[in-house]
Amino acid sequence: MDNRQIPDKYFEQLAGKIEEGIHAMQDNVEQEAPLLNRIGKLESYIIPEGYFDGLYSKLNLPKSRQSVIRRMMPYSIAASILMMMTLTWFWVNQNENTFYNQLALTEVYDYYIENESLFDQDLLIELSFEDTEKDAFDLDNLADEDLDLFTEELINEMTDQELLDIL
Amino acid sequence: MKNTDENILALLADDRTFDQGFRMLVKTYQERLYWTIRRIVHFHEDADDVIQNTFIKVFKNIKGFEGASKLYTWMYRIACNEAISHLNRNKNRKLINNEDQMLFLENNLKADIYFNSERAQLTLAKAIDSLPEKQRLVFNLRYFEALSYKDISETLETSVGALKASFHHAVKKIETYLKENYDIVNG
Repeated sequence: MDNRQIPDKYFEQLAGKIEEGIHAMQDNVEQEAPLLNRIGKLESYIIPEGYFDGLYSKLNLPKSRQSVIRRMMPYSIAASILMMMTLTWFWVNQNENTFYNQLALTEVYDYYIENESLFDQDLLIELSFEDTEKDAFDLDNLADEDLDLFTEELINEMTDQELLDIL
Repeated sequence: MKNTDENILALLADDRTFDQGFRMLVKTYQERLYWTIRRIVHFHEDADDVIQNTFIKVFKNIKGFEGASKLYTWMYRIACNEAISHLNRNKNRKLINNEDQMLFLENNLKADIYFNSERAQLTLAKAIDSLPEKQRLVFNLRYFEALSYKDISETLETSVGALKASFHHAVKKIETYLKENYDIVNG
């Protein structure tokens, strides 16, 4: 005979036995604690009227991502507009500068002269003086007398050897 | 839309409906959590503080909730921890001995306008409060909340067998306390 044999209907009864055991271990307050059972589960605690209606609004919750997005939306739009305006301003100014750089110096002077009243006179004089100085080094535009003086000064500054090399 | 855990979690999963989902979560569980907390801390003002902290914690951590346990057992765990931390922060409870603690509880409960100080109920409150922390939690969750041992096991992270033993001991101790104050209970 196989030692591993089990009683008839063992598994059929097993579930019932376990259930019985669980019930035995269950609370069983009625029999084990009659005084506790007599007092029952009547709630001793009282809560203010309408407490639960207002609890959610009392919660000091951190802002959720959606709320933050909704709250920041106007600022985001304003920031976008400001950025677009800034970029446009830079683009226009850059193009204006490019345009300005492409103008001939004479055209700029003409513009100044025609619109003289719009500009500060001291600034105009200063700008004119700077341009005159630049012209002084432009040999093509020098008068004959000035050219002679310039040549004389140049010769005086040269060494004998430098003169020999030129000649 | 029904206030099921599935619906609540679905709303919470989407940033666009998160606020709606969280409101639904609070409305669904506020009363159950409140009573769990109230039975631990006794006083309404304390329970009010603790439940607010509990929901703030839930709010901050809900994205990390992986669904390994039921939503309410996860929140019960937070609520119980918050309530116990609240009690531990209460210096009066730390400084006084057990007898003084009972007297302190009795006097305060009698003075509490939010406590029905019928003698039997007051005695029961004192009996429950005399239990060790773990037994008190198990007793409250099982006796008043009628949670299954499986759910309590998830909440308190304790085996079902140990919970049953804790509950059994708690009931015995409460009954002994009530017998010692039999006149009061009958009074």
